[in-house]
Amino acid sequence: MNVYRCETCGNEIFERRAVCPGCLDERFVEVESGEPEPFVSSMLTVTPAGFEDSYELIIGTLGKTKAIYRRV
Amino acid sequence: MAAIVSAGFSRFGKRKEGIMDLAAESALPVTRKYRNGIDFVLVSNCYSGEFNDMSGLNNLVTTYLSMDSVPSIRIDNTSGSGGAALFSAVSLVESGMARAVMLIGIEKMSGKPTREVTKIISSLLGEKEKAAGPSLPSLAGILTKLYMSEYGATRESIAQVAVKNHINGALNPNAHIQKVLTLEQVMQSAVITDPLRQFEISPISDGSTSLLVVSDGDAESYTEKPVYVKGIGMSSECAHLTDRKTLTDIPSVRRAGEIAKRQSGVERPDFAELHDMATILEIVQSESLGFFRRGEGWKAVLEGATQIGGELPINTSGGLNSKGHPIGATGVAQAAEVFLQLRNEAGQRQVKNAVNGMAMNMAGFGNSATAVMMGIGK
Repeated sequence: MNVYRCETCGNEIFERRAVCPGCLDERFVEVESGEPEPFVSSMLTVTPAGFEDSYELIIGTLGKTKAIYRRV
Repeated sequence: MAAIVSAGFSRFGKRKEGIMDLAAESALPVTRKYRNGIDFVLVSNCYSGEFNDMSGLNNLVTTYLSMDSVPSIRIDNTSGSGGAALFSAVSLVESGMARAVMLIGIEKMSGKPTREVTKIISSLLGEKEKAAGPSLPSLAGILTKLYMSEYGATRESIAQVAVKNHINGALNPNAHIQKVLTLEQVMQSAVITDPLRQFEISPISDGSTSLLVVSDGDAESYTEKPVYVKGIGMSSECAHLTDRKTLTDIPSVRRAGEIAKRQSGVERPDFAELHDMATILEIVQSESLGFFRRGEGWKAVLEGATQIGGELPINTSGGLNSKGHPIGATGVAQAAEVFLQLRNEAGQRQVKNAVNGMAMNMAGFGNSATAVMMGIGK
């Protein structure tokens, strides 16, 4: 799973921004950060339209940040 | 200082009327009395494009009310639209840019299927986070698990919020759900996003609420019982959940509350309306606002401290949980409940001897929050 790494301070974010929240630099590089380590999840039985009818939504640590993903 | 001098209500629920008639239902009781003095209209609405295929709703509403030349703005701040609109109304009045601001909160949501509504509301998330498929209630499900794990809260204590709020909602003639529920009924309702169940999550509602906001100097010329805005604070937080340091605190709520308390000089209100889109949120917000110590809000629920007659009643209206959550109307309705309570006009759900009350309206999952402390007497 990919994250955005600030080229100046090395801060990592899951969701893209124009400016680094750590050092306010504007240069990022998208890097592969391996698989997230899950730490909490919820099983959805009412899901947004366009998605499967049911799945597990997971938040996990990913590099220096967190990731949200689902497991059907 | 600004004051609220009048309020109008539609019943919340699955309504057959269209959005314009719902707006009129709450606005007309106010405009019939005060039409000539109103020099600005703020329409709190989030999704008229998505739900109703309409844009420029503010101008359509003012025209429907035949207030054609009164300037108006539509304010969208997702579930926090109403609080943001009240913040704006107070700012307009206090700055002298307007003398009497009509605030109309309105949303008509029930025309779409539940999963479509869920998708529309999830559009406030960041692009990658949204692609994972979270619903807003699912984030509350995750928060519930983290809170229970961190503080040892029992599952029943969370569900008890729904029991309390449905008792209150049954006393509110404008509530969407007017039915008392037992703990067993809450715990046996369908799982929506584990561990949260159907009766712990706000329903999909239509509805409208209106308020009239004027300067404190003018207030007594409108009514013998003005309710003053003693403090109002707004704060924001990172929209991306993955960037937040903790998921069990809502810093925007805490900061907005601190501003409202500091401005008003009131550390602890006599009652409060909180943003209980899901039961857990009421508990976490009650802690973020300093009503109860961190990790102890669930105990306050079990001890009855937050019920009517308790130490600090919360969501006397029934809250979003029972009163309903027509998104653009919600923050306006929360302030309107405080207005009713402070005027001793809340009927069977009246809090005795209340002098100060707080409303806390939240956008997204704490993406922003507006807290207002209201009181009687300047």
